[in-house]
Amino acid sequence: MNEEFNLEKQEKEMPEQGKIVLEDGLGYALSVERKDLLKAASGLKEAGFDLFQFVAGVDYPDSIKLTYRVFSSKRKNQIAVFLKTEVPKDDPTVDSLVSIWPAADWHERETFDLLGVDFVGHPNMSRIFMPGDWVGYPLRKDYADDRIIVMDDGKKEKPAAKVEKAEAVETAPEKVPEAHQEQVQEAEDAKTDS
Amino acid sequence: MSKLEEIKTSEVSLDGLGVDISSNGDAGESRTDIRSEELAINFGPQHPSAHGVFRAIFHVDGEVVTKIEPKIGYLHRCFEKIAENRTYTQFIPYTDRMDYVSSMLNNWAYVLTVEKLAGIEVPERAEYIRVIVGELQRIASHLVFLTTAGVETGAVTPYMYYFDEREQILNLFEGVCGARLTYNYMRIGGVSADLPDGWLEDTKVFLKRLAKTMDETDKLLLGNYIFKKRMIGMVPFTAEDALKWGLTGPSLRAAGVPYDIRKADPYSVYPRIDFDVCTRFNCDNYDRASIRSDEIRQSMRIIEQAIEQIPDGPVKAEGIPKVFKPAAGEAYGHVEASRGDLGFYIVSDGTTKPYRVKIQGPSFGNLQALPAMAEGSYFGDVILAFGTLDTVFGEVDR
Repeated sequence: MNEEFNLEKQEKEMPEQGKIVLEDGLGYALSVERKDLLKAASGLKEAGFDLFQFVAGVDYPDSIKLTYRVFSSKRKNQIAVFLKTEVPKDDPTVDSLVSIWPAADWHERETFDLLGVDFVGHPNMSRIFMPGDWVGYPLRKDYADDRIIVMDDGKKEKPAAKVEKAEAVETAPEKVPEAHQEQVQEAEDAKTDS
Repeated sequence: MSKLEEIKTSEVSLDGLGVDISSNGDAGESRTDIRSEELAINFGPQHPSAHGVFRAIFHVDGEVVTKIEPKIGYLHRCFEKIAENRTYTQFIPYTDRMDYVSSMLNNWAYVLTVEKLAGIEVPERAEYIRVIVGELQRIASHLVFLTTAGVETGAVTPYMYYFDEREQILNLFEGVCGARLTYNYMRIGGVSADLPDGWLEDTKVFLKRLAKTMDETDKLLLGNYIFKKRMIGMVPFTAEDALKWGLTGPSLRAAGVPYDIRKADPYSVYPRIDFDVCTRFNCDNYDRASIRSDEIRQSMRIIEQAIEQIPDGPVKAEGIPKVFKPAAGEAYGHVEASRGDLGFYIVSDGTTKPYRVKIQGPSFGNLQALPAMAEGSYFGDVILAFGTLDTVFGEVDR
């Protein structure tokens, strides 16, 4: 096992798992169908990829793409592979990899919590960050919440409604609320006394 | 390093103290003459030993912890969602608030990934500045770790020494960017400003001072009899288990796995710098603590070489607008942060804002290993094991 990772050799060793390709910006990546995920994952585990690092879900209009990163500590050239799959939006389920890498536990729960992907076979598929009774999945693109602040990128003109509001604040007369007027008076008296 | 080994293996004379240390580490053995039943104890979320807002339910049988159920999310701000509503540059200050004990390295991991995504070249001087401040940050973070590890075993004196040194680092950081905790110093394509006059000389003076203090404090804390008795052999973890449960960083290296991104997936100018990847053997509490002391020394070596090699020149790539549109695509970048493998996975759809930012925080992965690591140990040792994982909750919850 303690030898350099070699693409051609790897393909001979695990022909069923699909083709590992070199992707720009990522490195080695292996894209598989959803039904083949478990098989590809166990193939990678056997090939020496023993450290599960994360799973990232990306929400697209029709599907959620999942990207896993697994690392091999046994290979001399210390290599990692991105394992990719895709689940449809109307049935966002995929096999859990906890049975292969126990470290996938919290990462899959996180993806369930924020993106609503159900990992079948996970021992405890529950929300991890958000409260248990939370409605919706925050990292979905259609998730609506008034508290989300979208920052201006400086390229668009400011919306007219906001400008009006700002003017309204400026023209409002400064007024000390009645309840506070006594305190203000007292403070001023104290100043003059000293 | 040899000095540390010496301290660890040296015998401590107990003559005349009337202490029997032969019966130690028999956690898990049941005593039949005491009636006991399992208790569930709530720990946190506000607890001095929790290093942040961590809640766990400990199931204890007498003094032995039989089950740990961590509950996280008390500091969840969903930075990943916030990132989707910010431009690439606007998100940099948010990364400071993840692992707030080593903000510089968070900045670095993020800008490194965006640079990879947009294909931006960083000037050489900026790379060296990043290495110097990044390693200073690692030292500062490890000093905080050693401080808390000491305080948790009752050693309050080293606190003063370690925090004094950390204060010097914060002063240096204040010099480069004006802030002492959340720096926002890195920029896409470089750093925000060049180093002030005389800063490198000040850093050299500091390194000399730190070397002296580290030698002293190694004796004071890591060579301390009580500290050694509390830590050596307690809550060990094998390399196989560490990998299985996804440990990274110093905690994984303490189990003997030489996984350091500065060597495994070199970035910046690390290939030009000579340093060793520190490893230990047992991943017990003592190894997880003392490896930080080793790493501080390696970081000092790195900074010394970087100061020798640093060239003159610009500190920021030219022609990068504040708002820019990287081509559609995806990129993954990671750095060796103080706590392990800190990675960013960014997907761009060709607009001014990222389509998706996934943050891989090392504390999240490390904390997950706590139940597997500590179940079956004494309660007091579990608290130390939790401390030696060096978890920062800003990063766990993000």
